[in-house]
Amino acid sequence: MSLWLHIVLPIFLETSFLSAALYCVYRAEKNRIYPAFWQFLLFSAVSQAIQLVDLSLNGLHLLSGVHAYYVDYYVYWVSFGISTVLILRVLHEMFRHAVRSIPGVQKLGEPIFFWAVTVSVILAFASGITPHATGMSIVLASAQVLMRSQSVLTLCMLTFLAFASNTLGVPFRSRIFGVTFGLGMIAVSNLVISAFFGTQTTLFNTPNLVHQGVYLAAITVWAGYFVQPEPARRLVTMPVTSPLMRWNDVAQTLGNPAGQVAVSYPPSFMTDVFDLVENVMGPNGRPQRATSSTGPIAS
Amino acid sequence: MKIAVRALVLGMLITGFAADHMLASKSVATTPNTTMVASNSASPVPMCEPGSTCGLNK
Repeated sequence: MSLWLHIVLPIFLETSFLSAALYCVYRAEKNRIYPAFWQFLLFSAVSQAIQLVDLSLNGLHLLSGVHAYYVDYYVYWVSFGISTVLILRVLHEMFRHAVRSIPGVQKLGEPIFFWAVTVSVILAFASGITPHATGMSIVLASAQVLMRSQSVLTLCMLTFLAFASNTLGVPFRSRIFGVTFGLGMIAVSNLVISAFFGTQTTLFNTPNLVHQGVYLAAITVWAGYFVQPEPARRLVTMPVTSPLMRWNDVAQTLGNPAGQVAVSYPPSFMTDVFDLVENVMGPNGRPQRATSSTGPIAS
Repeated sequence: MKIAVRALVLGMLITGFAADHMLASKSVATTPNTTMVASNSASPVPMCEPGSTCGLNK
């Protein structure tokens, strides 16, 4: 009974919620506009369906506990790593849509975003490789540290959207904010549960139940945002003298292969000395007067 | 409305960073794979070693 109630039921609910969210996104015809988010939802639904079948077979005594746990363990951790990368793609997609009204900042922000993600990935794998870690434990530890980096990145992105909504013209009822808010809920839940509850020795425990509740609430938020019509994006207006406008101009010109101007070095003391010595000594290293006395003009 | 959303987001950020700080201090003492139980789904996190039933039917 407890297996069905604590494990199979949440996974069944999650698969149903994800399917509903997928339907909402598809019905709003936003699967082409937010392809990374669509792929994330689709992947999560498929991996959950596999786990649901596996654990249901165990619940019906058609698969032994050891074998069912093997399948659950590997499906879970592999899909965990893949979905972490997919969430990073979703964040990038939301960032790109959010700063669309400021093309210069968008252009400059993309390499900075990729830099942050690359550093997170490198740090994750560096901290995952410990002296005692081998094989699956390296992957497991790396995925978890990557998840931690991704959670922090999500919260930073959410704060950026919340406080720059006026400047970016992204209202709180926008789908960009809704998707990021849902990811933020999952990120906080992940960080808090990991900080307060360490190692788990069974699949039935309270932290898992709390996380399941938060995750289902996040999917509901996503579905809700895609069910209701999105308000039109506000036109961004700012004074011509606004610093953001100047940043935008500067960022747009960066990396632009426009005409280049040769800029000479400012004269320095040493350059003057070299010029003077060259004038006095001549190219062959002898004083100019002695050279000229043996030259054709003297003779 | 706007202030409430911003306060909520700020609260989430502070909570998240406080938890991350706690995690960082725990990671110094132990290996990372014993401190993080993060999940990308509502399914329970399988933290037991493979080969056990981890509470499933035998």
